[in-house]
Amino acid sequence: MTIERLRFAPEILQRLGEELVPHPDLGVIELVRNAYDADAPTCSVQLVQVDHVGGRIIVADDGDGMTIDDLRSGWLLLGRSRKSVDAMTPGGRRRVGEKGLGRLAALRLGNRVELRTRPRRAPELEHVLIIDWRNFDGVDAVEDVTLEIRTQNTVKSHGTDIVISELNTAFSKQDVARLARALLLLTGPFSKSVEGGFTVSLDAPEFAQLERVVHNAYFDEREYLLSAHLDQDGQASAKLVDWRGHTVATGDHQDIGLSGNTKSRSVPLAYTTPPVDFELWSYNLSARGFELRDSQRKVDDVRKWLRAVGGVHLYHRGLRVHPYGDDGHDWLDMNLRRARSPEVRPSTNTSVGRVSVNDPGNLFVPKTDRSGFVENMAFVELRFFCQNTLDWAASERLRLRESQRDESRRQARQKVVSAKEQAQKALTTLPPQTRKVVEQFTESLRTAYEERVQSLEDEVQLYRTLGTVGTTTAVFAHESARPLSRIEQAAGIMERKLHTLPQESHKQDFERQMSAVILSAASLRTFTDLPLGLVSRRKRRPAVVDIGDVVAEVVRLFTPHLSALDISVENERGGVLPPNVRTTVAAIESILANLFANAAYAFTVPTTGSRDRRIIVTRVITTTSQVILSVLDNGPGIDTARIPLEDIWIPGQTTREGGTGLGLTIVKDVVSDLDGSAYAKAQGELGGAEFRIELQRVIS
Amino acid sequence: MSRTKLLEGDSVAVIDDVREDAELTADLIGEAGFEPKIICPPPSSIEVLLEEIRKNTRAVICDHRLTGRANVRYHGAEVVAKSNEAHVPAVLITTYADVDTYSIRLWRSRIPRLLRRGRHSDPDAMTSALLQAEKEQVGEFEPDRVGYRTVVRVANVRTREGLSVAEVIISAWNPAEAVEIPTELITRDVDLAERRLPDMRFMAKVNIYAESPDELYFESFEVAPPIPREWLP
Repeated sequence: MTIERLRFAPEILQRLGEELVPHPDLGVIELVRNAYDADAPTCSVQLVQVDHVGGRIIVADDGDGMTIDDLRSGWLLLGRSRKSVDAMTPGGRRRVGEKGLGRLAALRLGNRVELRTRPRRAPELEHVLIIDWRNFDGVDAVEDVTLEIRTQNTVKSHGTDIVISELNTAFSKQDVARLARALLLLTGPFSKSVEGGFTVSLDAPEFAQLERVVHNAYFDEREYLLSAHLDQDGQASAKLVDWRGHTVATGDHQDIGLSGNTKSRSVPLAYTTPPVDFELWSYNLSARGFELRDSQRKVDDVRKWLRAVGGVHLYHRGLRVHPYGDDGHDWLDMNLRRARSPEVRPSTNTSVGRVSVNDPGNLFVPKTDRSGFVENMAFVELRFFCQNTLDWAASERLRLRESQRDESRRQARQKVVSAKEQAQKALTTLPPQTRKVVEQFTESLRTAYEERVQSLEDEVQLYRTLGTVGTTTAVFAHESARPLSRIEQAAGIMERKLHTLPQESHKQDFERQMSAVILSAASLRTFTDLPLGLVSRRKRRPAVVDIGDVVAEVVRLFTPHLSALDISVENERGGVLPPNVRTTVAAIESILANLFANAAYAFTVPTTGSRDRRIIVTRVITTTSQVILSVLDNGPGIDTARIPLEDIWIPGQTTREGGTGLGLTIVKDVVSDLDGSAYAKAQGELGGAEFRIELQRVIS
Repeated sequence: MSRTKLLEGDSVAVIDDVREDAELTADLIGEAGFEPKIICPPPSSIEVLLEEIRKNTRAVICDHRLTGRANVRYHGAEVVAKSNEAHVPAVLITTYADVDTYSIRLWRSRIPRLLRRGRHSDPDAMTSALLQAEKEQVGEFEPDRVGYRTVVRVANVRTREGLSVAEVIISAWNPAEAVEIPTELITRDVDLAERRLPDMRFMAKVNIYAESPDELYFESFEVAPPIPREWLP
């Protein structure tokens, strides 16, 4: 019989080390986590000449150190998790280190590793282990390289120092900045992250700079603090506290469970995840918000701080887990939810949060590449609980805001009455002659103010009326679809029956009438399809939108209307890149529908000029960074004698009889929401008005 | 034993809750050479209706919204699907194909053709739709109606008009467009709570050659095997 063993080629070190862990900083973080598991109160990371190949990284801690046995059965044994067999450290911390693959990645950053460890249990002794990775290059199997542990006397206190030298690659400024951020956020800007304290430092200017920003905590500048808790029975509770410290809303399991995606559906009996604490500090970054709270801090400082620490971070046993809360890892979809309903929802730029989970049952399983947890049931439920809590807070804030709005309207009315009374009183104290002059001034001031208020109220009324017109039009368009279908079907039947009539003369008489019915029905169909098409749910969903496709669709919808006015539409395209913009179809349709409606009206204005044909040209030109959408016509152009060109965008400004003056305001608002620009020429390339909309193109 | 070919003079049930609409559809069916049999208003029980269809007619054309004037608890889509299951060829007709997407989608796999009420619903269109329904019963599908087993990823779950809806991506159909389907379509096959669906991948039978999202159907969901760990970044 021959006894054999599985052996591993040295390449496995590469596979399991540097190839598995995407960023070097993740490996370094793993060494720091080992220091935490060694019950170290502090851990320092030093970068020496890492900006070029050959540099050094030193990670030192004052933890328990390792005995030879610890080294043999722990540090040098890759792939085994100690967490499952020995969940607690002697110092009472829950272990956070995993399997040693991240450690391997860190150790392989350089050609040489020197480990010096001084066990607490054997004072004055130091074990030294040197790994030279080059020794593995010439062997068949990993086990063929022997590693020697030397033991010597020392006067140094317990702890472990690891020196990774002769680095294979240089650390870019970005790498260092990322490492600095990761180390600073490992315990976070929050108080009491780790019981007993665990301090990490990095000897790099980036760290010191960022540390100043991070540790300048601005928690007291928050507008709201949301605190939620999930108990060990999976029952949720939450409260919302305002900047004054007043609790403005509290929610129980039922309230939170009913929020969010499952509104009107059943509440989960329990969230099946370990106990969780979720806190979110949200900020109002307007100067007015700071004034209101009488804050002495600068808005910009808070903004800078949020840029460094913002987002909701996940803390597992007190240490932050990458990448939750990092740029591009909005794991609770806060920004998406805010985009869908922007009112009173915080984004990752205006809030900072912490989700803390202790996980005594080891339900959270780190991914092998150390980028977060495997999305198992415990994790999905944790995320679901947090998202429900955010939804609950948003609906509570909306309710609060509505009641505040009602209250401020009432107060405003009262203020006006009392200000008038006070002014009257003050006037009576003046000498008669002065009083007359002052009375005249205050009267003209009052009149001007009331005119201004009146014009604003008219504008609000106009918007409301238009809103009502919109909703009513949609309802009637919807309802008229059925009788219209009936007319079309009946006309079709009659038309076919006409052909069976024996007398040709009757046939001709009826055919003309029938054709009028069919054409009119087709026109009516456009008028019902157009508003229904505009309010379609699918069109209001943010997506990457091909502007050319939307132009084609709007032209198709408008064609019967434009044809009735003898207007033809020509579509031009320029550029080879796809004209993609991140927006909603509804937004682009709003732009086009308003521009088309204006162009169509322009042709109906009596004018002295003569033209052979009425044309509207749509032009979509794509550059690397922009999509330029132009709508041009050969109508009479914008009459700048009646309205200055710069005023066409202002609400209520119109030269059209019975017009609302809101069409171009809507265009401007939509374009501005998309961070684009809108321009107009009174007389453009075709002689009529020309509008040019520049939007940012989606690159990939 | 039933005949295999729908013939001129065969009786076709026209089901609608509005008499004027039923009569117009009946006229078109008559023009197409069939014998229309109006059922208006439809009975409150779908079983009674299906029994009547089975006994007295060779095919069915049914309006989707039957609740406007009739006191029924079902939609036309369910009638059409169940009629096809019972081997009576049936097609759906509606004015609101773009609006009633969820209630139609629930039964779409057994709705061979959806006719839009109006000028295009002429006798030829109706005959062709009924013949196609008949062909599907013997396994002859148009290319855009053939279902293939493919991956369906749930991007999100949300509530629309009180109904739980999943936004799904079917890469084999169009990787850039999310399609909304009632979550019930998934949860009736797979024992999972709705909240677990986001980011999950399923295998389902989908007619991936459908032209528009409204024509897509989904059936036989099962949880897809996990992505191999080594594929993950």
